[in-house]
Amino acid sequence: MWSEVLTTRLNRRLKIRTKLMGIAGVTSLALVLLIVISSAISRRVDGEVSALERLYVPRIALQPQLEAQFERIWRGFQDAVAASDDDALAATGELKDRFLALLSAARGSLAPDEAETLRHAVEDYYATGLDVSRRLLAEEADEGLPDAMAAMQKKQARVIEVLKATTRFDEHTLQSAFGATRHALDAGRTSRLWIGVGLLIVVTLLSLGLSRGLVRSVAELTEGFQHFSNSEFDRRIRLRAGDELGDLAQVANQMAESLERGRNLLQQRTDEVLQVNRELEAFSYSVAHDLRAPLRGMNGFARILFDDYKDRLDADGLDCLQEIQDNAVRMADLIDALLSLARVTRTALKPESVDLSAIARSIAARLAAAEPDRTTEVMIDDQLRAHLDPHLASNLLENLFGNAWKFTSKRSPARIEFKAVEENGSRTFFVRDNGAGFDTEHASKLFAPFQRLHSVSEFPGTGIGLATVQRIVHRHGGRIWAQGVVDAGATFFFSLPSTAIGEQRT
Amino acid sequence: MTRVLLLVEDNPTDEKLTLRGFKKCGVANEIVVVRDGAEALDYLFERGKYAGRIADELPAVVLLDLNLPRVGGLEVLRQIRANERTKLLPVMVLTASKEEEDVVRSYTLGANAYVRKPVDFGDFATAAQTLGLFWLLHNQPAPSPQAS
Repeated sequence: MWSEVLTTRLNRRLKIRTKLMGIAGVTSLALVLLIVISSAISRRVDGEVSALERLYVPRIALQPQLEAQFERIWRGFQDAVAASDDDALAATGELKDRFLALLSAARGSLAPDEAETLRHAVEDYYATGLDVSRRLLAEEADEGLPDAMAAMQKKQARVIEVLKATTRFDEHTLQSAFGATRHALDAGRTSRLWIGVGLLIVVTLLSLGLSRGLVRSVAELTEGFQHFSNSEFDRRIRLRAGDELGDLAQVANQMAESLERGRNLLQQRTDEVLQVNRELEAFSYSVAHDLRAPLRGMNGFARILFDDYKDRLDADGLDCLQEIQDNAVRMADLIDALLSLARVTRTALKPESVDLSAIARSIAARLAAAEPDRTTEVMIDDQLRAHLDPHLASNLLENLFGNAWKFTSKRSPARIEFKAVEENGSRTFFVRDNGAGFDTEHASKLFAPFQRLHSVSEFPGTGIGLATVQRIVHRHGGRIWAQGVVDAGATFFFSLPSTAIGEQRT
Repeated sequence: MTRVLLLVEDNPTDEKLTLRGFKKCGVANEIVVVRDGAEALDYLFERGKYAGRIADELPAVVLLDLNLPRVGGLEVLRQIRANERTKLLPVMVLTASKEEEDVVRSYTLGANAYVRKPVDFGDFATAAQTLGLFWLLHNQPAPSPQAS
């Protein structure tokens, strides 16, 4: 349909402002047109009505006026004859002239030929009347007088007749005049109705067409924004309207483009950081690994020296040799701890439901078997399950139990608990001991690698265990914290999210 | 004639300690030392400088380091297992750390045992016994590996 094509084309090109102004303009124009047409029709009806008025209103007053004036004329004749007054008779001329003046003044509302006939009839009567009156006044015997009087009466009747005819209201003329007026009124009403309906349809179609375009544009914008809100920044809004919504679509597309660029940049940076991190880990791993090789040599050859040449060394020499070996062993332990810490971050997480109680029991049994002379009370709750990597779970509990075991070495009986508490819907596990404890003020140092709160001579260790524990908990998206009192014991709490969290690293 | 042991080791210190340990315990088998994975494969498959070596029988056991120049230990192991002639050859992987023991465990490439470095004769003897290589430590004639 052509109007659809037109509105579509208009929709593409015009601004919303222009469209709205167009609709307002068309509406105003329609109103003005309606007013102009109405007033033209009113004028036409007015013309018809005033024509009727001009034609008939003067006649309404004219007939009695003319009749009265005519009566004055013939009474003037009678009075003059009765009083035998020549002057009064002469004065009737004035009365006749006034009649004619009235007639001539009303000429516009009378048919000209009829008015002329009336004038002639009046003149004729007057002439006869004046003649008859004079003959009566002469008081002479007059044979022809009765005939003249009869003629005069005939003429009087003729004047009355012509006067009535001249000033009558013609029914037919009146009907046609009213008919014409009614017709004009009807035509005006009908044309106003049609013009009004036509304009209404045009304005409605225009508004509908334009608003349909707007609705379509808004729908496309909404769809585009939905894509953007789903982070699909590679999508574009395909809106080619030339209006403000088209501008909005363009701006939105530019926004998506820059968001996409930003995201790509961020991804690139993240990849770079991950790459650097991987390289760093590989580096520290290989450094730690390579450090072991010369250490093996030192330790191995020191042992050979001890095995094969101890006879040739005195006590001091043997002591030095022992020191070399002890230090080499300690350094090997440190390197092993570092490697194990690195392994926590290097290996891929394979979380599953793990029975922590069972793992803790086997660790406790192993520790007790290694030092059968110690008196310990180990309390482990049943059914402590969590969702985490089983190898790392063992590593975690080994470190926490190992610590508890180590720091309770001077207690008898040593007490170690492994329990869980429910808090705000999440489970918090804890390992508590009655060992050497620590000052809570230093709690933040506990989890940093190589940070120790006790000397090696007091309690041996590498300072890596709790760093490993923290890393394991963090890798599972959990939280770890500690409470302690010097010489009264320590408690290590950890909580894990209820479900496995996705692996952050690749 | 007793069969040889093949030691694949690039670190001279570790090699020295290993050889010394064996010698001290009276292992009379000849110990052939190669420096990297490629050389080990050349020896086993009689290629390169070992092409047409006279003793055409396989070593009694391969002691294989993991960190090797050129071709790594795990790749050597894979090729040994992929070859029809060598797929049953006993291989002991030498590990430098607990970390590497895990690596060997996680790769089911078919290492028969792993021994922690420096290879001390006691460890080697334990591993050899679990592999049924008791004969090796007593300098007895070797049964063919294919038959074991």
